[in-house]
Amino acid sequence: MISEPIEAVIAVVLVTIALATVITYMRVITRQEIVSERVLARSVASVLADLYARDFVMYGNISFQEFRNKVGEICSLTWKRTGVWVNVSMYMIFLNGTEVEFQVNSTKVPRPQGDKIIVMVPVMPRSASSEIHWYCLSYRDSYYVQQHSVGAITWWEGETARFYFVAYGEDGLPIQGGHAQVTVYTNLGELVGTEGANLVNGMCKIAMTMGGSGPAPTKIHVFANYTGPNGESFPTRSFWVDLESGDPYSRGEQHLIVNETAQEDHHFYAGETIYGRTANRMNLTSIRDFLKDLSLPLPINNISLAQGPYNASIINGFDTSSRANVPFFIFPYTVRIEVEVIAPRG
Amino acid sequence: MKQIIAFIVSTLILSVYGTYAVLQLKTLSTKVNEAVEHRADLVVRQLLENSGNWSVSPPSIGLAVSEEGQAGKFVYPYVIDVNKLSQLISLNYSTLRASLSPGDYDVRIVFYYYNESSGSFPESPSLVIGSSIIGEIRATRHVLARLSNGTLCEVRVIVSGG
Repeated sequence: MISEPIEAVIAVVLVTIALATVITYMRVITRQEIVSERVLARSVASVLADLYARDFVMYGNISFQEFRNKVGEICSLTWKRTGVWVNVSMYMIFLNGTEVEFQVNSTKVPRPQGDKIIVMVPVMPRSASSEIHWYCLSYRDSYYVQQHSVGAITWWEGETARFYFVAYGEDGLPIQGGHAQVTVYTNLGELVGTEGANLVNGMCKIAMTMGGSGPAPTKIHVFANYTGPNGESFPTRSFWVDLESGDPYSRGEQHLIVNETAQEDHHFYAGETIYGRTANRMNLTSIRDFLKDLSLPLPINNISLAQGPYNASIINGFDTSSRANVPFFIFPYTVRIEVEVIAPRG
Repeated sequence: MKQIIAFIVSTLILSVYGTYAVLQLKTLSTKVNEAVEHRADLVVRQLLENSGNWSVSPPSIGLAVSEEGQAGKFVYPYVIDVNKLSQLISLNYSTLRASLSPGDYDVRIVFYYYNESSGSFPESPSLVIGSSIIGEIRATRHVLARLSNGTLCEVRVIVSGG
């Protein structure tokens, strides 16, 4: 029972001291919790960066949707085990400095009030392995040939055959340098020719003039060789390409993918629009099989774009004779994974 | 007058005592806990953010996966090399303690491997390494990590003593 003013004052002082003690204690505890949560956030960001870089980009054994689901799963697990709410975003950073944010996933409970910790991890998918992968791709599925006869003399001429050589590392980055060579025989055993070229930015194109004496062949047998930039040798690869009767000059190399200045191009930035020259439809195949049936232009919000290489099958309308195969790389970019952690307080 | 002096003196004594109590509590908590907390952070960083050097004796402990590339050494923090983990398990406690925590700190490292079928971490630890005795003054760090074979795991590092 308080009967004197002095007792009231002493009571107030005592309560104030007790409150100050509690507040001080809570502050110390909170600071320790924040340190602990910062370590947790860093570990979550690192695990997600590894998941993205290795499983999604380098080896392509999960799709981007699976990556997002996995992130959601990790957010839920973190919530259950530590009571911490997690939100994960990604930023694609292009070489011109622009950034595009992409929300990946978060804990499936309402965002709580509390201390917020943000940890960022930059990811530049890059494989330490120096293993080289390469392939040779024919520009056309089949080439036109025409047979001519004057008296007893028979000869044939064909559309110029074109072959792309593509060399890349395990991370999908272009291999710099190396030499490509292609040798073509007809199905009748006649040598059409041998041509070579050096690879620049993981790619080169070899054109082969076609023609010879005798009756027109129905197929060509292509032998492709690639020597790596440090003299690495690989087994010769061979494949057949069909020849069909047609005017060799009716179609040239007009079906291409080009950049915004209408120049033939095979290297694009993620998010950049890829245009078709005399082609308005495109299907994609890739070393990773989760990207299919993508139409021109490439959308900027599709973060599933890795550097490639991709083989674009381009076609003008429904004119199957315009179909051409063109490889390209999406130019490397950096991704920043941002993990936001909120620890509910109170 | 007497009452006023008594009031002022008692208020003064209470205030001084109260301030001292608050400061003492803060210092105590900070001194005792921060050293352990700091040590726990260091253990996590050494264990999971470094690749270590296992070719020397005693080894420099670090579990992170590393690869030698043309551009140098790549270290993948919080990605655990299973071979290094096996080596860590085979270490005796005194070597582990001396390498991870110089001083009088005890260290316990607990792993919970993610169970794909149940979609959760198990309740009981999958692997416990280190001290079986954990003191009253302790700091615990919960982190996520991945084994190099892709298995997700929760790692708890508990440091005690001091």
